[in-house]
Amino acid sequence: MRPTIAEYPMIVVFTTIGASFLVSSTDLVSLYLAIELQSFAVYILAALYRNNESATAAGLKYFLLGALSSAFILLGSSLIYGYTGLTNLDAISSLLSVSSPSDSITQGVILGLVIMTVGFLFKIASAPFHNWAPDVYDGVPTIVTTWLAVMPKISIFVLLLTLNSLTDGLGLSFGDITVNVWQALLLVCSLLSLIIGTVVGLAQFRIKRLLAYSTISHVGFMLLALAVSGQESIDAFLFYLIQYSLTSLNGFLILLAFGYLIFSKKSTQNSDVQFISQLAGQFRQNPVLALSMIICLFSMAGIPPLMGFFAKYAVLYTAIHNGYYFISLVAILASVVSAAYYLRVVRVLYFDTTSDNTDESSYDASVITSTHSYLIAVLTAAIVLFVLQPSLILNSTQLMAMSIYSY
Amino acid sequence: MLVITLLSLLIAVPLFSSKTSPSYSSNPSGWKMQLTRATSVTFFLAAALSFNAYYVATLGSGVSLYSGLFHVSTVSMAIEFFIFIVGGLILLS
Repeated sequence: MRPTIAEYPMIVVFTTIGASFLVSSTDLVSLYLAIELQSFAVYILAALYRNNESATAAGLKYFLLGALSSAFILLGSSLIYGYTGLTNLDAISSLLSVSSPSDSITQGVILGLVIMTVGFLFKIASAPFHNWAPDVYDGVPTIVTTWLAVMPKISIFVLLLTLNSLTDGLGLSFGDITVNVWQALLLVCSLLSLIIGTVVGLAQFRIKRLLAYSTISHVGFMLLALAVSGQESIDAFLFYLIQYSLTSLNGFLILLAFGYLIFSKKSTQNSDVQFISQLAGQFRQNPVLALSMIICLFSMAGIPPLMGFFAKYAVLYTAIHNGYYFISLVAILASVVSAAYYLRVVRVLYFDTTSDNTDESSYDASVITSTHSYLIAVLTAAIVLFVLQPSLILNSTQLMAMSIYSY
Repeated sequence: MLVITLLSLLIAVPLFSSKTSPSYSSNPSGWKMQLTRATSVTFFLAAALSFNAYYVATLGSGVSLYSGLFHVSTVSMAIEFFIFIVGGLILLS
């Protein structure tokens, strides 16, 4: 097991404070400050294990590209401020509702908003701004990857949802057609994320890179739901966000547990599973953990009785309902293709035999703490049993979506 | 809640990391584990607090804080609750 670092909880609290400010900020200034508070702590978190070479490299890469995206956000907000003289999002929204699309104010705000959104898309690793994500996820230790992959996304997606209400009917006219530029940007990024996340994911043999590409493909789904923009699509978006965070958290926790188990007998400093082939034959040695991993992967792939299926169903239903046929077809195909690489992990877990012939009793189950295994059990049970009691999550997301539109 | 936790951690971490402390010599990494768990507990408490303050009728059109810098609505409050729960779960492992 890795040595615990005393600063770890402190930095985690920093980034959580940033995240909780971010979800409720409605001013360009507070928005930027919150996003920096969140990001800086995450950069430090990525490079926390200083004597680990790959973690330091990944942390530096994350820091440089994160600074680039922060610069985009700052440029976008300064453009918006320059054209309107306002920083409050509500005030900007009121100003836009009284100005015509051919106005220079509207065009300036659209330009600023698009540049700012590019910065946010950088931070949530949506294609074509995804290049940092696989390297960073693969480089840092798994416990940090869990945090990086799950937490910053939630708050930035909710921020995009806040910006979404700003852009209703905000369009640029080209001749006689009017295009909602922000929506078009989200749709293009969603399409690219779906395609790149699945196709490039097929070629991966390192497990965390594979999970990173799977994240990119799921980001595509969420951006699709966000771009459709109606009450039921917001419902689908929130549900997808919640279920994906829980499933991905469960996946990384299981990976962490596998790492502890596999490396418990070897006196190496490293306790991370790096290659998919390292999981070979784990079903015979840790059947319950392997079963949880498979449930988790099947949920990500969208196999029916599990939670992931209902989320994908909701997103695709609302996209088709609103007439986005082409991208829905791409999303369905992407979902099928991504099942291929999840099934490859399942095949390695179940049917491959281990290369090193350690006898089966050499694994010591006590290296996983009881809270850790309890957590995996509860999350897996939540994924499986969601079908029996779906109203708990679905009703809350529906109420949230309704409250946006009816008040 | 979180800010108080942060301040306590900022004081506690350098205070206890001196190697002369008796708990350090007996169990070098034990107190660090305890810090992580205490932070996890505070996350759950923060989640409970934000759930406790979740009045849908009042939050419906949103509450503006600090002269419009922040705007608490039903969605942001619920997502905050979710963020704290997930954060606590990650720290628990």
